Parts: sequence; structure tokens; C-alpha cells
Amino acid sequence: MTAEALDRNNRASERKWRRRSLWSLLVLIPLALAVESYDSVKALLGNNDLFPRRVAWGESARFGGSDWKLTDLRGAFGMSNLPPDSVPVLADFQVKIGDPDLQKLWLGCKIVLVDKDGRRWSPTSIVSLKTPDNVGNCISAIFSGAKSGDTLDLRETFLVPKEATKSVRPSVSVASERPRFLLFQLEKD
Amino acid sequence: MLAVAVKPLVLTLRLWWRFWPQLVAMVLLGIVFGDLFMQVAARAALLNHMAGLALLTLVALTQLIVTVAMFQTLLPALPAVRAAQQAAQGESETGPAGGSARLARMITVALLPFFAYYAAWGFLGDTVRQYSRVALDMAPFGEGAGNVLDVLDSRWLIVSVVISWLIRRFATAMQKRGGSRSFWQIVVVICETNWIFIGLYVISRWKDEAIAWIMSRNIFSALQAAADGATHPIAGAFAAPMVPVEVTSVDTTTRLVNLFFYMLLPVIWLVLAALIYGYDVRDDKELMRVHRRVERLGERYRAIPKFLRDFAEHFISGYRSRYLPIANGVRITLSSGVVLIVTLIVGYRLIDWLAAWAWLGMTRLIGPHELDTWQVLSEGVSLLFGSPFQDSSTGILVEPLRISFLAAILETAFALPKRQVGESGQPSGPTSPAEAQHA
Repeated sequence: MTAEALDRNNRASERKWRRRSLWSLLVLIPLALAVESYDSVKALLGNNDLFPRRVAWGESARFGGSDWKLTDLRGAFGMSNLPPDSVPVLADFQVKIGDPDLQKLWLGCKIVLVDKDGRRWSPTSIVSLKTPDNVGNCISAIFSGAKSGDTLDLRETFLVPKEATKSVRPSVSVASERPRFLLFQLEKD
Repeated sequence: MLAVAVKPLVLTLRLWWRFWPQLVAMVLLGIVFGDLFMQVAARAALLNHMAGLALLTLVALTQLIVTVAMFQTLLPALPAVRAAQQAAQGESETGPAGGSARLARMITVALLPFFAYYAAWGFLGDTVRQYSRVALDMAPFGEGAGNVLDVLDSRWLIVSVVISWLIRRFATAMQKRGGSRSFWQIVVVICETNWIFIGLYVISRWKDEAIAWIMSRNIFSALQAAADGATHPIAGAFAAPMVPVEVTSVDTTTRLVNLFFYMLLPVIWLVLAALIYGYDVRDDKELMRVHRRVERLGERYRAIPKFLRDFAEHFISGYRSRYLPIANGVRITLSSGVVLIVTLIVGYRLIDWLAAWAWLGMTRLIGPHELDTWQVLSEGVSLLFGSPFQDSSTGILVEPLRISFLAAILETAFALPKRQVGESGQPSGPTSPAEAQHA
């Protein structure tokens, strides 16, 4: 083979590999991105409430192996010793236990208030209102030893700015269900 | 003079434009396989710590193979480097090898220096750290698996090296018998990588221990106190006053040492490139001619009794025939003029610097997000530009440019008129009989 023919041959094979590589990029870039970001995406999905499941007022929804129902959401106006323009808000739930393995299913249980702008409020312990003995909260319910078929009353207390009270809605999330979470609607919605 | 500085830059862009799809695809393959092997190694470590460590070798080997393959891809566009290779091939009478065999040989040649570089720059520690982190993720709090790195301190390490040595012996025997040669070549390469990897890591650990031991002795502190007293007789008598950190300054020696290492990295990479391309340039005559003293060293070596020489050759001959040509290639490159070396250092660091700024600029462009979201976004940014927080990570936009730049510098060095004149004026002699045997 002459040097010229060899050169032409090399050129052709180079062009072939260039084309092949270009096509392979279509697969390799998403693949590399997926391989690299797998752990971060898993953490993102496992730690965050991303996809809401709306629950209409008065209805219950199966979540974390149990049936959750919002029974009340009200503000406790007129309390003293609070920061100005802030209102304590109480959210009451009734949960009918289905799968009793709460220590696994309800791990990382988080009840928060979300307003129309996406702001979130976690429960507070600044405001201590008297609650009946049989009312617990999400975390205490995990260790209550409730059996399948039991009904638990849960209450969380929040402190939110007065202007937000109109639009806040309670949401419930547990590690076993994230990134999905329950977003309860009110009667007026 | 300016032309020497500009030529490699133009060539870099031309190389990059001609080969970017292949180069980017290779970087991506390296990322995918590196990550895959890391996971496999960590999983194997849960079963057996030694197996995990042995598989970890593959992670570093992947990086080396990708680098070598990228340089190999650029070869058709480097006429001067190819001419030098062909000239050397004619001299040493080695037949033209096939593509995969060539690649395997280049990797064997690059193995030891690459790992030495890898260890010296702390990438080896990086890889090992990353590995122990992945293993810890899989077994929270070390449950069941324990500390996956404990084998590094155990005597079992020797067993592992012995096993890989035996496998290597078997593979070389099979290779000689014929059959699937390139397969056995790969086995040999993996075995060698294994003990170089383990050996270097252990040496670096033992070095730390040895230093710690010396530092813990009272002799040293006594000596140090004496030395301090001698150099600063009065200042040492007073307690050092508190100085705010803003006012302190880095002394000139430290700055010079830092500058030296800052400049050394590009040069080392050029040496790696020269070694990857230069594996065929086998001629120790040219190297020996460097200095009369070196020449005398060679003569003195030949005067050693034959049985002793045989004994030594048994261990070093393979490496000698491998690294002599490389020393040659390096000498050619480093003697190619100050302008080119300065272009190399500045250009290499400029690419680094631009990549870091591109990373930063990208983060500004994306703006603030929650930590978990950012963690995902940062993976995408790092895929493009490499992560400034992870030394050995490579970005698909930066790595091809870097490799093209190094190849362009080497090509310019080989194409310099000075060298061509030197070659025709000093035709290199035939290879020594010892070299011909090992070739």
C-alpha cells in the first residue's frame, strides 16, 4: 500500500470514529451525569418534600401505612407574651393505624405549615397550650406502641405571622414516603 | 521567539477541534468506569477488605488508560512526534505492533511514573479516602465491615503482593506460549498496577509513621532547640509575640518552594506525555552522551562482575529498557528552550485557572438554592469543568483541552529546527547488545 493510500485510509477511519464518538455522546453524557449524581439525587429525593398529594377537607389519605385525616386547623388569638403580629396555630389530626411498624414507616415524620408563597413553618415549643392526655404529636406517636386499627389524635402547634394565617395549610411527610407528601386542604378551598 | 509561544496554542485549538468528540467520549467513559469500579471495590470490601483494595487498583488504572488513550488518539495529527517514533522504530528493529498491543505497551510503560506522580500529588490518598467513604456509606458506622483500610497495616498485604506476583508470572508464561497475547498482557498490567498501587500507598504511610517516630524522640527536639538557639540566639530567648494573621507574611523561601511545586506539575505532565509517546525511542547511547560522568558511570557498571550484573539485570532490565527511552524523550523536551517551557507552565496553569473561574461563574449564574438541590447541580457543573474541590476529577470541557495542549507542546518541541539539526549532526549509534536483548 502506498503512503498516500495509507493516509487516506487513516483519514477515513478517523472520520468514522469521530462520527461514532459524536453519537456515543448522546448516551454517554446522560449516563455519566446519572452515575455521578446518583447519590445526590437520592439524597435530594429522600430528604425533601417535593410532590404534594392534595387531600380534600374531611377526607382521609393512606400515608406511611396509616390513614391520615385533618380534623381541625385554628388560630389561638389573644394570647399574651408572644412576639407582635404572630399567632399560634393548632393543627389536629386523626390517624387510623394500618401498619403498626411506625418506628420504620414514620421515621423522620415532619408536620409543617405551608403558605401560598411556599414558606414553611415547623412546630414550635415556645407556645405551650394545654392538651388533653390522649393527644400526642407525630414523634411521640412513633413510640406509643399503637396497634393496627387504633386511632391516634395528634396535635402540632405552630407560631406564624398574622398575615400568613389566611393561607397556611398543614402538610405531613415521613421518610418512607418522600419525596411525596400530604397537603391538606381546608373547608373553604 | 513569539512564534514558539504562539504555535502550540494554535495547534492546541486545532487538535481540540479535530478530535473533541473522541476526547470527550473518552473522558466520559473514564468517569463512568471509574465510578463503577469504585462501587464494585467498595462492595467487594464488605466481603473481604483485601479484595476491595485489589479492585481499587482498577480505579486508578482506568484514569491512566483514559489518559494514554487520549494521547494516542491525537497521534495522527502530530507529524514530528510520529517521525521521531518511526525513526526510532527503524533503529531498534521492532516490528509495527497492532493498535491494542500498542496501547497495552504504552500503559505498561506509563504505569510506574504515573503512579509515582499519582502518589506524590496526593491523588492516591484521595482515591483511598473516597473508597473508604463509599464503603462507609454502604455499611453505616462500619457495621459488619469494620474499617476497610485495616488491611493496609496488616501482614496480609504481603500475601496480596505475592499472589499478584504469582498471577503475573503465570500470565507472562502464558504470553510466551502464544494464544491470546493481549489478554495476558492486560493481566500482567493489572498485576503490576496492583503492587505498585499498594506499595506506593504503604510506603507513603510508613514514611509518615517513620517521621512521626523521629519527631516523637527527644533527640530531635534537643537538636532542634540547639539549632534554633544557634540561628536566632536572641530572638529565641524571648517568647514569640502574638501576631494577627493579616499582618503575618509568607517568607520568601516558602514562597519559592510553593512556586517551584506550582511550576513542577505542568512539567511532570509533559514528562508523562513524552513517556507515553516516547516508548519506542530506545537508545541509551544518546542519553549516556549527556555528560562524561554519566558515561563513566556506564563504564563502571560494565566493569562489575558478570554474575552480579546478571542478578541486578534480572530485576531492573525490564524497567531499564522501558525507562531509558523515556529519559531520552524527557531530555529532548526539556532541552527545547526556555520559551516553550514557560509557555507550557503558563498555558497549563491558565487552563486550570480558567476552569476554576468557569466553575465559579457557573455557580453565580445558577444562583442560590437549597443544599440538596445544589448538591445535584454541582455534579452537573463538575462534569463540565471538573471540581475544584476534588483534585483528580476531570471535566469534559477542560480535560480534552489540557491533553491537546500537552500534545501540542510536545509536537512543537519535536518539530524545533534545533533538534532536527542536532539529530542529523549526531547520528545515534546502534543499540547496545544488552538493549537489543531486552527489546
